[in-house]
Amino acid sequence: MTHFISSVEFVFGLYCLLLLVVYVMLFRMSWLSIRRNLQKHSSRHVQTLMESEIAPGVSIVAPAYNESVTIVNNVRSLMTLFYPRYEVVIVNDGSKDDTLAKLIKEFDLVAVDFLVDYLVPCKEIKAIYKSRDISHKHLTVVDKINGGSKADAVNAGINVAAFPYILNTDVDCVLANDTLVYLMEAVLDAKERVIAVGATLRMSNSSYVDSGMLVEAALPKPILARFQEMEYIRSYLLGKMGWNYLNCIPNVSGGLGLFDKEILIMAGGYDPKSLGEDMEMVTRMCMKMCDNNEKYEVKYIPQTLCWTEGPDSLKMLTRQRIRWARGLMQIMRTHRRAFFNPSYKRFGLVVFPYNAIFEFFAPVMEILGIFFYIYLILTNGINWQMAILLLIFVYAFSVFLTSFSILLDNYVYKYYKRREDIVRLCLTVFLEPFIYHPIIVYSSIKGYIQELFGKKHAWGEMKRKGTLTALSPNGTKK
Amino acid sequence: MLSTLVHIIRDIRAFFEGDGWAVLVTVALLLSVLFWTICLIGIAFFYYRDYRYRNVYSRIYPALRDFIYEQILVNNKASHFPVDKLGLDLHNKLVGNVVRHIIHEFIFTVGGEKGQSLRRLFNELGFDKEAQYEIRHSAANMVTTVGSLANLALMKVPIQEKILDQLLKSPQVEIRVAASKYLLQVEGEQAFDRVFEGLIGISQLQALDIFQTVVQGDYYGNYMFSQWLNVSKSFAVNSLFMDLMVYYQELNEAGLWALITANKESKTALKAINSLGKLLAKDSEERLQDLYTEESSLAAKLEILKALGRVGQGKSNDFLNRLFMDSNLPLSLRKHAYRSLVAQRPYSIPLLRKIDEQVDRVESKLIRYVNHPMVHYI
Repeated sequence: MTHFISSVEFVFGLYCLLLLVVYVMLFRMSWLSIRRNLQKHSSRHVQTLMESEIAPGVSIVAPAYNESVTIVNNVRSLMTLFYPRYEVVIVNDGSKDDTLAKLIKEFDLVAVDFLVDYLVPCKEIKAIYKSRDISHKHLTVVDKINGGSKADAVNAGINVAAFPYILNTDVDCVLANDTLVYLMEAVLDAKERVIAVGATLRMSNSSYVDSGMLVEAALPKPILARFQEMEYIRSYLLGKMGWNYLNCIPNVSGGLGLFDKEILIMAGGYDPKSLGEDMEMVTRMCMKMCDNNEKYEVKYIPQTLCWTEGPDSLKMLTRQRIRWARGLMQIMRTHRRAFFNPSYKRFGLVVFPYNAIFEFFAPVMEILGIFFYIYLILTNGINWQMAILLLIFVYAFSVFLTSFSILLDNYVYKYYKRREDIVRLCLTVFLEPFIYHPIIVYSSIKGYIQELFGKKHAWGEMKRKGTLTALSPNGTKK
Repeated sequence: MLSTLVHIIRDIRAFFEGDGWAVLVTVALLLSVLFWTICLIGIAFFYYRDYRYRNVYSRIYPALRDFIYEQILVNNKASHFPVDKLGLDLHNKLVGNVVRHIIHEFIFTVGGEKGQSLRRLFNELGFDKEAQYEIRHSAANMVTTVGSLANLALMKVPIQEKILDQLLKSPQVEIRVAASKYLLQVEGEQAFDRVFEGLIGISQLQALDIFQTVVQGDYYGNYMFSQWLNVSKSFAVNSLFMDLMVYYQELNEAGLWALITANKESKTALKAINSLGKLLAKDSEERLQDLYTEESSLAAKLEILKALGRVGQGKSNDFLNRLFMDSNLPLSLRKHAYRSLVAQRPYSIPLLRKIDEQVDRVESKLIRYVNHPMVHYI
């Protein structure tokens, strides 16, 4: 029995040690990666790409389902981006409300004879609308039968898109005006072919917007949204920017991702059955490039370019995280052949194993660890002094890592102009391990169990509360 | 040697068998707390730096704006500005940065003679000397050097030949590109040979940057950009010259065909085919048709069809018609074939009428799609 306990202790110890090493590496690499990005960016004249006649075109694909309340402002926001060549493709995914009617009325749309080449699978497209108003000539609205997933709607948008790059975003996301400039800079400045680029996302729950455009970023007031804001900052600036240094990015977020259309189509488009369609798509694109023996890059940039409304109720948050956990499990199962497969190069040897061991297994290890702890307490086999010391260390280390992410965020740009927002964010760091983290672990385990037993996933509806605070014309908050 | 190693391993084991773990964890804990404190100091520092910049900016902007309006826009002063009246401490780095930033904003919005006056004001404030100093002494700091070169280019301040030569040969591509842009902005056409000769290792973004610098200058002559096309050069470099050829309508079919035949599947070849079309290379029409039958990639075939449409000499009407009527071909190829046929009017009018009479439902939908004025065709 003693031998068994020692072995279990060794496994947990080794796992924690490896995780610690990974985090220390990410700490160093994220700093280098962000510094390099900022140096490169400040050595360029921002206007160059904005004014260029020969800049590659980008199609923005934004699916909308029952977005009647916010659709007009959101589309206007997408139409005001600074970039010389782009189009906006709004996919009305069989909305039951008057989303389409509002678009038709507001933008003076008419159905046109558009012959769709179904390059990637999607449900039938009923009609395609263009505006009679020349100032909206870049807008295309696709009306299709509901496919039951965002993936299906994005595929429809890809089939209609005219340009070689696709920006996948949600219609309710608020994008920075220079989003396309930043993302395309990353594509055009790379040594190898860039198949996907992402940027930092954060919560828009308490930010101030005017006509769909962000006026001032503010820290979310609801505590759950604030935890998510902190999690996003850590995940993007520490995690993704760290992996960016090694060209080992596992995922480009569904909220904001720029993709090479040719590779997207070659890989078969988004999988409507996947619950983690964004990560699954990037996985398939990377594997396709390796199969074709072509060099590629997946890049991330540290600037925040997208603000999205995060779930601020426990029910919606757990539902979202259960879906993400199930999606991750599906990917691990579907693409298991990539696991430590040298023919998939760094994707097979670093990205996929890291995801499997430290992302997928992490909640399982945590739960098992807690049970093991309880067992040791009951059998009086615990060294209390050492255990408490270790707990304090783990807590201090997690607080340090999140604080470091906030430091990186301030290094990139001062998004919060108010001092109170930064102070509140720094204080929230202390609560996260006790309140937010257990929710995430619980949701992940629940998601794995649901996936194992094949429970049907209900997408549910993310209720838009319109928590984006609007400004009146004289600048006061409504 | 071996005994020393064994001794070290024994020491390590003894360390962990004793209080080693506790000591190690305590050290890690203390380090975490230390780094956390450094993070907090860093966050406060960045916040304070931004706060100070905003404060200084809001203090200087009204005074400098009024000064520019009064001296340059109202009094039409072109030089010898009473800069002492501003009372700015330009030795303070922050104040210098803010003033530079504000004058840049004005220079980008005000052109002509007033713009020249603003440039002189910039120089009279001593920023030209500062930038000259920085390019000589900050060669290792890429951002400072690039920024200084951009300032000097904007103000058209000459740089010593020896220093410029060093910058053009810098190991950092960003500095080389900034020096090239400086030369193009200050010397214009005279610098073409010198700049284009040294273009190595640039990215597509940097190529685009150089393209913008050339076309935004006052050059409109007949320089042979095609002399720099070379199959051994990277896509970014060849792409830059092809873009310049298209912009200035300089046709060199032999040069472009050399790129196409060197590597048929590459991005360079696709761009060369595209350029042939945009340059209306009428002698290449038949050769493009031959290339279509040899090519295997869909992207290349699409580029060939687009090019045939642009050349529009009517020699490829039958070829395009055959492709359009072939229902086994991908829709995108048929679409571009028809589009190119439409572009060949008036030569293709009889053929288009004939097509209208014999097409089926799918083809007629395709025709309606191509001809629809509201479907933006790219």
